[in-house]
Amino acid sequence: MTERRHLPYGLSAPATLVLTAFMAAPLVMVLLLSFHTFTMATGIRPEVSLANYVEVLGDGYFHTIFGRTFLLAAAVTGVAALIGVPEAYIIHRMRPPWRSIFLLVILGPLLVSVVVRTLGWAVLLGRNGIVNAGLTGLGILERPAEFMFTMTGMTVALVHVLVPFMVLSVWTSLRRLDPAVEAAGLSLGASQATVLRRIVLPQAMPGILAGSLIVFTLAASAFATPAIVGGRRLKVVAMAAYDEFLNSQNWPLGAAIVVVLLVAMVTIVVGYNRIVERRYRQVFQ
Amino acid sequence: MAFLEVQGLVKHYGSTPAVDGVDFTVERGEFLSLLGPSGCGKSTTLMAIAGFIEPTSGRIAIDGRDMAAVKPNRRNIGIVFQSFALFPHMTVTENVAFGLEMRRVAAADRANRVADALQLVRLDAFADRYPKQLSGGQQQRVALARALVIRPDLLLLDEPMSSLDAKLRDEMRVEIRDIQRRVAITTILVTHDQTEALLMADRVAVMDRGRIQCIGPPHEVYEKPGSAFVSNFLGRTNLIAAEIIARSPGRLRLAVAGVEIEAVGEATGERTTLSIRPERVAFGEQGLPGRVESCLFMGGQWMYRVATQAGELVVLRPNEGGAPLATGASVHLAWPAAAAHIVHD
Repeated sequence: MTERRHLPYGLSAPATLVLTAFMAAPLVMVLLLSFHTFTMATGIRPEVSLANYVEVLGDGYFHTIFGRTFLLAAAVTGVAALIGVPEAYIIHRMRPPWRSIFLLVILGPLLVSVVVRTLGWAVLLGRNGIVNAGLTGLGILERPAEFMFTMTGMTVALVHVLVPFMVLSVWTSLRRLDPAVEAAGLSLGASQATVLRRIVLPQAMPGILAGSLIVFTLAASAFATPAIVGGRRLKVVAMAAYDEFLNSQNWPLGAAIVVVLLVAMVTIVVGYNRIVERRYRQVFQ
Repeated sequence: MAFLEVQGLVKHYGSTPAVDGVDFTVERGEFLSLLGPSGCGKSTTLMAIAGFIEPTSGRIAIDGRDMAAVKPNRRNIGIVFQSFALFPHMTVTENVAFGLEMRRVAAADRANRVADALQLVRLDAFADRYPKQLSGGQQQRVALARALVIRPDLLLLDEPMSSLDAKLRDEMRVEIRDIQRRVAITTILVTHDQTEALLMADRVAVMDRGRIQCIGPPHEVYEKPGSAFVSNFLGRTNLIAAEIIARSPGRLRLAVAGVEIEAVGEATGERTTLSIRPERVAFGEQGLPGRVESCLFMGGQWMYRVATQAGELVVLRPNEGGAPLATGASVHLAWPAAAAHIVHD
């Protein structure tokens, strides 16, 4: 009996150890670090002070960076949902051989290294890139559009890599849909569009919610794509923290930025989750 | 002209026919059951009537109007699906009101009709529940109310009892039949359960391999099945090989394992097959000799297996309170001439 009771703890021990050592401990250390002080002359000093938080939360420079990060994450989430939800529905309605093939196509971006993929976008979107060459060559645009080092460019590149998470998550919830409910809606006189809006979409909400949370958190903490496509002028929070750690050597300030980002994201995610779950309570049961 | 006409319905999937030339008609207010094993084409036929499957060829007309160009959402057909297919994110009221909303029925009228429909299926107390908070039987009633509230021209029931447990199934059969009679709606039931088909429908069409094998009122189809498949599928039967000795109009003299008997029907050739229902066979002084192999108690009846020269026969005798025949007993089996039917393979 005793052995039986201890078995679950024994089985979860390896994962617990790994998470404690490599996730919980560093987080606590970052949290402690964020209360320390730093000057160029003295380096890091283990005092307890709120100075870093006062700087992050009070300085307009950081406000801009945080604002930009969350605007970017929200835009990426919105566009990923607009593209991903119909895509997931189409995948859902496909017949077996095509379904697997197109799932692989959708997962494609995740199979390519982040640097290669992002530099690929730089080639496409650059001033003399293929997109601009095409648009000006066809006479659609007079002058090349600015994609590189703009929010648009960053959004496009992030949506490209994050949309698979939305598609997979929505597809998973569509697979639980009884195929007869669509027929039932039609037989009651609804048009195909009404069936999608009133019957399919509400039941896909758990998947859309889960996908949105994944896409939002990954977009808000993205580093490589904004760094390459957005450049130094359009800093996001992850780049700001990176700069404090590696360029200014101001680790405590970097730690405070990271903690604020983490708290803000957890708040947004939990709040959003609450609202949507309350609205679509029946679907989540 | 019949209310629903199905003529020469054919549906091919690739080169295999799922429905291979089906013709039938249903009168206004009639309850027809399509009965058959899985893969016989009954569901395909139903979905073609509903408009979800496009027939390869054939004609479907409701009230004289050809349905070929009419989309499923314009056919005004109520359907109860096997899984019930309720909308899980809507309450019972919202589920039932959906079809009226699509027909742009005014809110006040809609509320009245939903209330009436829920009263019809005895669910008025559950109007604000969600489908997951209801039992299987209640969910089925919601599905029925949702299909009936739009006052459809035709009600289609697609294996509606198969996800209910046995006791509930018996209750719902009677209840659905009563509701169907009360609102007098033309109904087609698809089922693989012969008891259900016989109990509920005005007429039964037995299907096999994409064709209707036999169609008629339940007792006629049961008594005069016409083919070995139908007699076996509609309840239990004994199939016996017989030699034809003499013919007179509508009657035959036959020899079964050397014993002379009479049967109703016509047959050509020298040999034929007889179908005799187990409950029509009796033990007597004369007739086909045999030996009791086993005897099973079924409450209201005893089921005997009797070995004879013509093969093993099943005999059902009512339980009249006495002791059954012992295993190994020598018996003679006899039946009225009208109980022996000629069947074709």
